[in-house]
Amino acid sequence: MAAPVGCLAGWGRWVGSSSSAAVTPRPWRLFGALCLLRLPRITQPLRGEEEEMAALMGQIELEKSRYSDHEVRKLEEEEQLRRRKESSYDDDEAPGKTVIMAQDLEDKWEQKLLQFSPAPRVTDADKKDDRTSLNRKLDSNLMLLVKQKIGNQELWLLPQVEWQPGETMRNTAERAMATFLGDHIQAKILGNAPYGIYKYKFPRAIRTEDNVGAKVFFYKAFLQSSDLSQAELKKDYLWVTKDELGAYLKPEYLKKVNRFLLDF
Amino acid sequence: MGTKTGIGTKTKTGTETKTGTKIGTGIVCFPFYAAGVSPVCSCAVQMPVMAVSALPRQHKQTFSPRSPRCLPPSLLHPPAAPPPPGFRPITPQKERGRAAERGAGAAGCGGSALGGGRGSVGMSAAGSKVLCLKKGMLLKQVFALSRAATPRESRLCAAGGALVSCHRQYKSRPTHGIGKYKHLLPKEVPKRKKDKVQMKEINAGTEYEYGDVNIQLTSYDMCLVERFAQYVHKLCNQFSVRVSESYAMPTKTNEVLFLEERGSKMQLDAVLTTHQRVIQVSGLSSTFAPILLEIVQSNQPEGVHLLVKEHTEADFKSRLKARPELEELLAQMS
Repeated sequence: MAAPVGCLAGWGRWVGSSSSAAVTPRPWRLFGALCLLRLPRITQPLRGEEEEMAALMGQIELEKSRYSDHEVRKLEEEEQLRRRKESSYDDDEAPGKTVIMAQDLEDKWEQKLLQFSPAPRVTDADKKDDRTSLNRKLDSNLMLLVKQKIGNQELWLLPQVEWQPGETMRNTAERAMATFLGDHIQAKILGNAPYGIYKYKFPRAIRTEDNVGAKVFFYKAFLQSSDLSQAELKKDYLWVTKDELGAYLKPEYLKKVNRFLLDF
Repeated sequence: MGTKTGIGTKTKTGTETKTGTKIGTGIVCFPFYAAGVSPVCSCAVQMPVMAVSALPRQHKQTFSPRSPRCLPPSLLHPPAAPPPPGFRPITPQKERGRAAERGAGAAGCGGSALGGGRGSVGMSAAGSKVLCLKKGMLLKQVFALSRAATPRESRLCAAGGALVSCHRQYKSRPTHGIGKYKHLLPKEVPKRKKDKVQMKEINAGTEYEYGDVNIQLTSYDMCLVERFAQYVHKLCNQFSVRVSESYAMPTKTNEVLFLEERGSKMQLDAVLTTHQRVIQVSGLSSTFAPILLEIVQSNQPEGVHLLVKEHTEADFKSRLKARPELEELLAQMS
């Protein structure tokens, strides 16, 4: 697989990663960050208008529809019962023959339905607002935030790791995931191209000719299995939705991250 | 007036609109109707006749009058009611091959019908046509028959509009084959039953593109999966991603048998049908593919499985029916 250089062809300073013998020092430090998403497990509830529309369409369909086989059978049997009661006993129907009536079937199904209880939409973690668990907010995307030390500050960020020469940016992102969550996480990155970029310059105190600032390339990965029994290396991690990101991320960073997050 | 203009050509008038051409051709081709000239006229009218009979059968699109010399004397002086401006040539369904006696008989009633102002019934009920048969040069004047003319016509023509082919074309009729166009089209090579199998594109260059990618949607609920397939198709159209094929795989039916707790007999519990729809997309760029996949994934409804994979020969073969006899014979031979 070749490097994702094609999309970055516009960057003048970016040379193919195959040529690792580049001597000129880069003024920008490169990081690969991973936005790990847990996809929603249940669909979002319908809004007011959607509910009304769904009810109306259901009503229209019901009124336009024809009887199914089961309903026809049920009607016929009701008709037979009624005729038997009104007229004298019909000995044509042998009483020894036990025929399962459609109504019996329906009762049986009703019983089965009562035994089934669906899981609650609002889980315990939702009630406690435990942001470290994956079980909350089952109908929206959750993404991972970790607390990292950048310079001399502790910041909430998407997990990021510096790029090493000789590896692709996507490998850097995967390495970031492995660093923070261990090796056995099953997450799938869909493509080789990054989803976003955040560029910032170092404060004047640290800035030198060779070290102007840093560029962070974001990749998106989808969690395949939602059990994270592996130990987390960093204790400070959170799973948050897009709306809650504002409370943790810096405004400029948040602006760049919001650009590639889908709204649902 | 000597030259015939086809319907497709433009006249040299200032306006070059379509209506202009039609009127133009009308004026050129039907001179004596518009001018109210009687059919017994000079040889100037003969030119179109000669032109028509010399023309090959394909060019019968334009109607042209026949020579008035062929007219039987009784019909030389038709009633002077001019046809309404919306005149169009009578389609073959309305004419009669053996309308000689009727033509003569209906001349009187047709004429009176025309004179009676039936022009309000629309184009089909008005207009007249003068024909010249090749065989024996008998000319019959056939009037457009109104619905109430004779019971026979009304029965046949009342079955539908002008497109009801009540009777066949007679080869002797000069307009035989009017409207034929299949022979003008280039000859098509009859397609072999087995199509070409692979259309695989090679990833090349700095801009990576996927070849044929299959998006397979599976579910128990047919309406849901069809709606989702429509949604994905429209999404690809909106993003200008080329959808090369969109097909359905055959439905698979599963019977769920329920084994009772204290019993050995399996009871039929339910019949489940699995429906699969496939959308084949080609030319997906590698920078856009993850975005499209994410959108499709986020919009997945409940109960629909999504599978995105590259198109292979096995996928193509799975759409074709297996032929066990052929395979048996092949196995016997080899």
